[in-house]
Amino acid sequence: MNHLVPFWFIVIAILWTGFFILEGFDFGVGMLHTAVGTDDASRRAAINTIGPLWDGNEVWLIVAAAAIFAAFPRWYATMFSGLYLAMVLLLAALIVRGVAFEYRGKRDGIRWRRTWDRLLTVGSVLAPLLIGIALGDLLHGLPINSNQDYTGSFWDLLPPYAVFTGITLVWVCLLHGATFLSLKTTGDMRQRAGVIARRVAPVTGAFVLGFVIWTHVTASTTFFLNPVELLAVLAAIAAVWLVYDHRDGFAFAATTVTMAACIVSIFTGLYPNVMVSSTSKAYNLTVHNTASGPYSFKILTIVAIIFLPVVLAYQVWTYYVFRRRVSADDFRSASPGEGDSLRRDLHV
Amino acid sequence: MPNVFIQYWGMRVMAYLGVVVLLIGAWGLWLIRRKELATSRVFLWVAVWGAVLPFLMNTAGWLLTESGRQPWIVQGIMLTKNGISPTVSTTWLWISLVVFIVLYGILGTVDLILMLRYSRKQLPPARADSETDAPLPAVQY
Repeated sequence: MNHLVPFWFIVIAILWTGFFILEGFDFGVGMLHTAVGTDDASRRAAINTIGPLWDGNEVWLIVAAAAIFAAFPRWYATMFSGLYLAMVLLLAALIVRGVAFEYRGKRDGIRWRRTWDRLLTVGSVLAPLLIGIALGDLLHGLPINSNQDYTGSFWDLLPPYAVFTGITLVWVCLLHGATFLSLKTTGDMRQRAGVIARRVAPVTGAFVLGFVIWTHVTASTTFFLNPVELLAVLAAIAAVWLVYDHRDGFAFAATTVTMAACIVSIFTGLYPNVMVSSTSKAYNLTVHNTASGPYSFKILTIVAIIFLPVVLAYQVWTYYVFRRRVSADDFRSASPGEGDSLRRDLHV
Repeated sequence: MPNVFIQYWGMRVMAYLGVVVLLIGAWGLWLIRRKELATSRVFLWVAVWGAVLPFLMNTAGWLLTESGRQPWIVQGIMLTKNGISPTVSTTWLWISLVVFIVLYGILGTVDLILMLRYSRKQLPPARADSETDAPLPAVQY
């Protein structure tokens, strides 16, 4: 057996985990920006906490999907064809969300800004919900035949476990976003982010507990939780406690670990399968019956070893450059409007 | 088989417009040398509408490769008809096509309106540095 096959399964799991850790908080900020920001200046400040970061975070999603395509093309084919309509909806949510960041500040009208606020919020809820459902589908199982073809309808993509996974991830994103906003804003906004985090935390904790138990029952035959599942529960409890203890930095670390452990638990539950068939165990897609040829794996590995450090380095650098807190006053004192963004675009 | 009309015009639109863009660039450099760039109305008009050219070239280039490769989806390895997903129905394809056309149509229209509005605006007077307490953040959304 080619040892690069399990290695690339781990790489893909890491990519999905990294995506949810990073994009998780900017989904959360997208959902919360109207709750934390009560006027236009503070909403802009909330958006600007992730403004320079969200698109870099989203690259992790593209790389995760591309890695599946390159390393396990049959997994990609079954997943992306079977989930076709869900993927269309996801793309629409991501497109609208991305455009909302750019268009919102380009005009002053109240209706204009409110429209983009709503689209940003809806897109930020839909995206993690849909991706969560998709990841839940992999583990729960979908009707797949011996030819590795999806045989269900659109509604078969929504088994209760998958929907619960999606909703859980939305709640983790909410808490993750709230703790991020506590770290990245000042004054009233920071306070409101803390209040929201304390309201959200118990619900998120309960959902994570339910998700871990459901995942365990779905994927394992043993009684005791495995270390990753246990870590998810402990991190969620720690997050609740730290949020109530006003320890912003540690709370964010705890929500990060919660998010990571939730995603990793899906993939550890999955291995060596990549998509479970609810039709018959014999039709499960596994790392072996979906893998590329050895030559593809060799090329992939070389490319990843060269470019991954470069990408990681510039992402870290971006976070370093934009490490400061964002204050609503930055957007108030100068009353920035169309004029300012125009002047900025023209570098004058 | 490739469509000859698409191949013929796809290639020419892409290549000739590419040369046109190069020439516009050279024209601009020449005007900079003569310090007439900011005052040459003809050039500025051409440069603004030149923004359309890359879109045309891109589209023509894609049509050239995608149509020119037929009947292959991967040249010499896989036929397009063998690459069709058996589980994606025509209805699903129609739904996605309509969703994307409507979405891009709306966003494209909004984009155009924004660009036209901005292009009609006068430049605001630049603030003196002393007037502001803090510099504007480099990136604002």
